[in-house]
Amino acid sequence: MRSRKRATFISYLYSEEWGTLLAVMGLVLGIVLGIAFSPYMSNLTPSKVEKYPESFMFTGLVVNDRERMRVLHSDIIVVGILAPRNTSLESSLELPFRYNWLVNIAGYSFATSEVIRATSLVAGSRGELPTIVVPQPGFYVIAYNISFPTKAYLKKYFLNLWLVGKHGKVIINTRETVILVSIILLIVIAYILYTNPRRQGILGWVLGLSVTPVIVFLISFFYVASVGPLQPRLSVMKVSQAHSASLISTMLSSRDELVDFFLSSFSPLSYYRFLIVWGIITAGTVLLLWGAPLESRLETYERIVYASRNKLFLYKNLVALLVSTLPIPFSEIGFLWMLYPGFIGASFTRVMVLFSDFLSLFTIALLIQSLALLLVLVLRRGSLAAMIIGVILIVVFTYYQGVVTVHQASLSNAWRSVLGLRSVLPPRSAAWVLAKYLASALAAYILSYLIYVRREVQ
Amino acid sequence: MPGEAFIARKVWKQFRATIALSDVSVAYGKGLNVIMGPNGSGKSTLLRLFLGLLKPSKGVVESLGLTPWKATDKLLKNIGACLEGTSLPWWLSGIDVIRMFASRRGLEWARIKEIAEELGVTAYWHRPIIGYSMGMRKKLLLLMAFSGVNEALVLDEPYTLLDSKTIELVDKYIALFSKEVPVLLATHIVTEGVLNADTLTILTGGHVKAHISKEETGRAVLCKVRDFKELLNSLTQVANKVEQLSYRSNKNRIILSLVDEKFTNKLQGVETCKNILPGLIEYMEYS
Repeated sequence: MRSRKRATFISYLYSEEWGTLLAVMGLVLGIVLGIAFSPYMSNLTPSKVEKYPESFMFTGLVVNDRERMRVLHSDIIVVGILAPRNTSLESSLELPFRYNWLVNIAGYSFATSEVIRATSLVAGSRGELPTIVVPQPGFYVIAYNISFPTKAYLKKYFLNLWLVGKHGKVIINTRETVILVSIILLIVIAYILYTNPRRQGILGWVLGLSVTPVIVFLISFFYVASVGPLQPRLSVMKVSQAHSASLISTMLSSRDELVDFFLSSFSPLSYYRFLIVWGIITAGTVLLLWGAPLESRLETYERIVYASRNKLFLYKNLVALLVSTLPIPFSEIGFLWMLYPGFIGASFTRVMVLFSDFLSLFTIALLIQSLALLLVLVLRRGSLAAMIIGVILIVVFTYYQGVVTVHQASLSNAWRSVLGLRSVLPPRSAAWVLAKYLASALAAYILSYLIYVRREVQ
Repeated sequence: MPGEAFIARKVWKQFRATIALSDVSVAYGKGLNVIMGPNGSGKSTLLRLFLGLLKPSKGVVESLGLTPWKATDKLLKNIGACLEGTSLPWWLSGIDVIRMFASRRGLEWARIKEIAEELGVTAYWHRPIIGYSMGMRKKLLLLMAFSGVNEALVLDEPYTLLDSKTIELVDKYIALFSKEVPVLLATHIVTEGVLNADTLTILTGGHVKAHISKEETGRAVLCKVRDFKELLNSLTQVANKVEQLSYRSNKNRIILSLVDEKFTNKLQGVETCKNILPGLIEYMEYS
């Protein structure tokens, strides 16, 4: 009887069982999520009410009073809030002149489709605005439509925002309990399948490929759910063009824009901290597979079992790439699902936006991994390569946070342009941005391959 | 050296400041080819050169008609190999590792299972490797080597860490394979199987100290002793014909290096006597 098992690239992990991949992906996911969500988890025990002040300065329109325009000018300031329970948004407006200002406040909760409205007239140069109480955790968009008289010589004004709330303890409610039980059941099923002697062949593959993402997804969902009362976070953007329609209908009609806003402001991918840690994990995967003492001791085994240097090169790199990139979209989807239930019925465009973010990460992973691979093969010592890469990443982490964010944003925009989505980059620039990254990664891979095929197994 | 499967001509191998092999010229064909020598003498390096895992610094190496370091993939697909220091993926079970190997090589599972059962690997191969003793790991590696034999078998220190029963089994497989294909065996331990070697190479400090083949000389004999008194009496009668004598008490064995091997007929108190390579005596005395 010939062995029925077919070796595939995932089998580089020395097991043809998807369980191994699941375990590694789960581990990576756990680390990535832990880092991504750590800002929210600074204090999970009930504590005193805290204020999270943010002050934003906006430059308003300069209006020529001689023309005596009769149309009201308005600025729309959109505030995104990632809020736990019992959080409220307090705000005040500071003006340079003593005029009467009309502020319309409208909010929308993506979690409950609840609409919040308030109107306030600010007399003089400073005025407190109505407090918006956030009824339950979730992602809210609050818009301030600040209208001012046309005669004003307006240059600058300040919108001061405070999120007031308290951390709460982790509460596992019915929903999370069901999810937890589901996860345990799935893990049990996975284990049974893994240990079943008849797991071989296509069945194992189909189950592996379909169940693994579900489990990873559920784990990330549970994770986000379990940290329920999040630390309040806030992000603001200014919409310069006033819409004639009401604020609510404006917001609801431009949901895609708001999701973009959400993705760029609140998703883990938008944090440089997340990107750096993920970058370290990505490089670490390469070091583990190619340069760690573990790998060098296993190399004889690898060569004897695989007996193909080309395939081994391909498998190792594919596994490193997949292990470090696949958990990301699942955690991102879990994040979105928790905070924006509407995502389930998301439009194709939104999915593509997410996909473009994944592609941008994949491109960064290609570059990081190819360079890490080249370094480890040139140095022939995993520990030395790890040290150098670690120092580089710490320097980037400390001093070049902006660079990381800018690169990620430019890549994300480039992929959006390629996918035909709205992008700030013109198509030609997008192609150039991608070409730079991909060509560099390809060059590093080719050089690494040339070194690898000449490498001796000692 | 035509027809030889493994050939090394004036081979040097240097690792930075360390010279592992210097001016080594050997050739091995079908049968059991034993390489002996103290630690660091270059045995493992020579085997790795033949498998293409290392590239010679100088000289020519040929394995199965190929330049090994240029055709490693092809060689490894056709040679069963068990190399010292090979680490196993400890997070998997033994059976997973073997299945993986079988899948890659397209090997008959029934045959693998048969060898595994004989080696006693099936008793524990469902457990994760991390819980194996060193001997159990060694048996797993040997199983892979024996299963993977197609055109040759290369074994580096196969006897270390094994119990005597398993050593006998390994000897059995070595004897079996050496009838069909070239077997390269680097070892410190002289077993019954090793005594059947067709060639013996003794390496010291990277040099070939001796390279002996059965065709060249066969004057040494290994005798299984039935009665030592009787043997000693007969030995005194032919004392002038005996060059060397060594004795292994544990197995009632005696090795004699005779001027004329016909004298074995005159020895009393022995059950059987067989020719062995004389270099082995030297090595046994050394070890």
